[in-house]
Amino acid sequence: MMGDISNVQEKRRRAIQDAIVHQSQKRKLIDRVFTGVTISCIALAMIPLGSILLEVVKNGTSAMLKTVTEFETSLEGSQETPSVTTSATGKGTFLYNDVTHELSFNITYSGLSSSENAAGIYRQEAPENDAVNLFALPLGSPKVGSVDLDKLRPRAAAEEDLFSGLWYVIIYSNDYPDGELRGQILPTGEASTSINFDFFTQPQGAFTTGEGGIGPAIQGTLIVVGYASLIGVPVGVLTGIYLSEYAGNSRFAYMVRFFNNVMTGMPSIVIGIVGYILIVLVIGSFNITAGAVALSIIMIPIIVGVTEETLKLVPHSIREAGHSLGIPKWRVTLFITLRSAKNGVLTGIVLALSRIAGETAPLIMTILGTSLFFQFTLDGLTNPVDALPLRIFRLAAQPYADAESFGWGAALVLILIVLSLSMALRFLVLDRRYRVSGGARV
Amino acid sequence: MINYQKHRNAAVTSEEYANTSVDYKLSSAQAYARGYKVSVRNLDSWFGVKQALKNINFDVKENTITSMIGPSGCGKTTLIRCLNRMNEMTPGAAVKGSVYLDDVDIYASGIDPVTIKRRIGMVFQKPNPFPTMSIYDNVAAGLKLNGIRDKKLVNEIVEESLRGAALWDEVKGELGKPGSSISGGQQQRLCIARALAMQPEVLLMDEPTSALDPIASAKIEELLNDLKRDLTIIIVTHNMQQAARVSDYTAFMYLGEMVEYGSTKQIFENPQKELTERYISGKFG
Repeated sequence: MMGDISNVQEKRRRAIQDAIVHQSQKRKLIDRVFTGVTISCIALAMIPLGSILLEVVKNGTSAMLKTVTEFETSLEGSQETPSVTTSATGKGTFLYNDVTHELSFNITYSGLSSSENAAGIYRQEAPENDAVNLFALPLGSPKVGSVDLDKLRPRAAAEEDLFSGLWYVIIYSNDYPDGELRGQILPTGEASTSINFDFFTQPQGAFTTGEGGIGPAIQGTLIVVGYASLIGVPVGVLTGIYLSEYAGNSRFAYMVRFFNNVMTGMPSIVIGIVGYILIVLVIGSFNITAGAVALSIIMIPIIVGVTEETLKLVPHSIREAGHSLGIPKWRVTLFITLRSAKNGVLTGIVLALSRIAGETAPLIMTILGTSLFFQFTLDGLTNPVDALPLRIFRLAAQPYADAESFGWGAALVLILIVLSLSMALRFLVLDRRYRVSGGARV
Repeated sequence: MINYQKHRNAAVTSEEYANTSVDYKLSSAQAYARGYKVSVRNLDSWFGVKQALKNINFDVKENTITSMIGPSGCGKTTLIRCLNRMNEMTPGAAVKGSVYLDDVDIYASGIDPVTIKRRIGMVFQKPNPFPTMSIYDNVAAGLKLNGIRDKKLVNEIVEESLRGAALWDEVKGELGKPGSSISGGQQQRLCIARALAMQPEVLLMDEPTSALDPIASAKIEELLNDLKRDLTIIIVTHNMQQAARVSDYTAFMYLGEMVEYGSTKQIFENPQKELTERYISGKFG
C-alpha cells in the first residue's frame, strides 16, 4: 500500500518535473524566436531608411561641391589642318568651374609671323564639315579671360565635348588666313574639389545655369524655427508644468489634456490654413509671423505632452524634500522638480524642433517662399520668407537637372540641421551624470 | 552661526505626563513658560472621511528627543507631518486643532506654511537627496533657493551642517560629487545636513533609520544625541528598542489616539495603560 502511494507520488513528481523542463525548453525557443523576429523587424525598417539616406547623401553632396578641372593646350603650326610650318609657338592653361560653368583661360604665344587678326575656340567636327566657332578670344598675348558655357545649348553636351578634348584653339594671322597656330584643349588630369560655399549663401541664380544656391532657404528655416520656438517652448513647458504640478485631476486639467491630445494629431495643412486666415489675411501678405505661429501650434502639444510626462516621473519624495526645507512651491517646481526632469524636457523640445524643421504644408500657406533673403527690418516682417522644406518642394517641381541637384542638396542640408540639433543636445546639453534614483534613463 | 536657544529650566516633573491624551492641563502659554517647545492641543486630522488623528494633546520639551511608537497605521506619520504643516500637501487632508511652536499657533490664519517649514525641519524615511545636485548643492539648496547668495556664508553653513550630521570627514574632499552617488546611510546623513542647514528649531524625523543597515543606523543614533543640544527632536520609529536607546520622552499611539506619553524610562519600565504594556511586551503590533 505504502509502496503504491510512493510510486504514485514518484510518478507525479516526475511528470511535473518533465512538464517544467519541457516548458522551459519551449520558453527558451519562444525567447529565441521572439528575439529573432524583433531583430528582423529592425533590419526591415532599416532598409528603406538606409536607402533614402544613401540617396540623399549621394545626390546632395554633388550639389554642395564644386570641382575645378584643369586643361592645357600647346599651340603649334603642325596641328593645323593642313599643317603649316611656322616658328610661332604658344601654350595655354584653362580652368573649368563646374558650378559657374565658366572656363577661364590664360593663353600666351610668341613668334607670330604677322599680326594676329582673329582667335577663337572651336569644336572638332567630322573632317568634311566646317569647324564650329564656339567662342571668340581677345587678340594679343597673353589672352586672359573666361567664357561661359551656359551660352551654349545644351550645356551638358558642351561640357562633355570639352572633357573629351574635342575643343581646340586657333589663332589666325594675316599671312595664314586659315590659321597659324592651333592646339587641342586637353584635360591635364588635375582637378580640385572643394565645398561650394555659394550653395549655402547665395540665392538661386538663373534657372538653367545652376548657379547660386539655397541661401535664403537655410536662413529662412533657421529664423522661422527659432521664432516658432520662442513662442512654442515657453507656452509648452509652462502648460506642462501646470498640468503636472498645479492642476492635478481637476475638470479644467482634464479638458486641457484632452484638447492637447487632439491638437497633437491635427493635420498640419489645416494648421497652415488657420494661420493663413488668422494672420496672412489680417496682415495682408504672406509673412514670417504666420509661419512661426503655425509651426508653434504644431510644436506646443508635443512639448506639453513630454513635459507633463517627464515631470510626473520625478519621484514625489524629491518635491517633498524641497517643500520640507521651506522653499516656496514655485521655486521647488522650477529649480528642483523641473531640474530633475531637465533631460526629458530638453529631449522633448529637440524632438519638437526636429519635427517642425521639416514641416512643409503649413509653410506653403503662410510664408509662401521666395528667392530673397529675410530682411531684419519692419518691412521684412510683412514679406514672404523661404524655408528648406518649401524650397525642396518647389525645386522638385522644376524640370531642370540643376534644380533637381539643388533639391537633393537642400534635403541633405535639412537632414544635417536636424542631426546637428540632436547631437548638440546629446553632447552639449544633456546632463548624463546625475540620474534620478531608480535609474530612469532619459 | 547657529542661534543657540536659551535653555529654559522647567520645573515640570514627568508625573504630570502620567495621565495624558485627554484634556491636557497646561495651556499652551503655561507650557511655553515651562520650557516646552511644541504644544499640541486638540488636534484632529482626516483623510477624506476617515479620521486619522483623534484629539491629540501633548507637549514636547525643548532640547529633548521625543519618540513616537505604535503599530502600523496608528497615525504617527500623520501626526508628525501635522507638526510642520506638511500634511496639507496631501490631497484630501484636513486638520482641526492647534499646534503651538513657542506659544504661536502655526495653524493660525495669518501664518505662512512655508516659513513654518524653515523653523521645523523634516527628514524622511527613505533618503531623498536631490539627484541632479552635488553634495554641496544639496546641503546649500535650502539656503540658495531662499535667496541667500553670500558664498562665504553659504560655505560656512554647509560645512557646519555636514559636521553636525557627522558627514563632513567622509565627503569633505568630494563635495562636487552627485548627491546620489554616496551610500544609503551617507545619503540619509546628507538629508539631515540639508535640513540642519536651514537652522531649524525643531527637527522631525520620520523613521529615519528604517531603510538603513545597523551600522549606519547606529551612526545616526549617535548623531541625534549631539543634535539635541541645539534642537528639539521628534522621531517616529517602528523600532521600540531604538526608541528606548535614543529618546528622552516616548509617546505611544494606537489607532489615531495618543494612548500614553511620558519619559522613556517610565513608559518602558512602568507603563500606566494596559495597551501600552501589551505593545511593549510584544503581544501585538
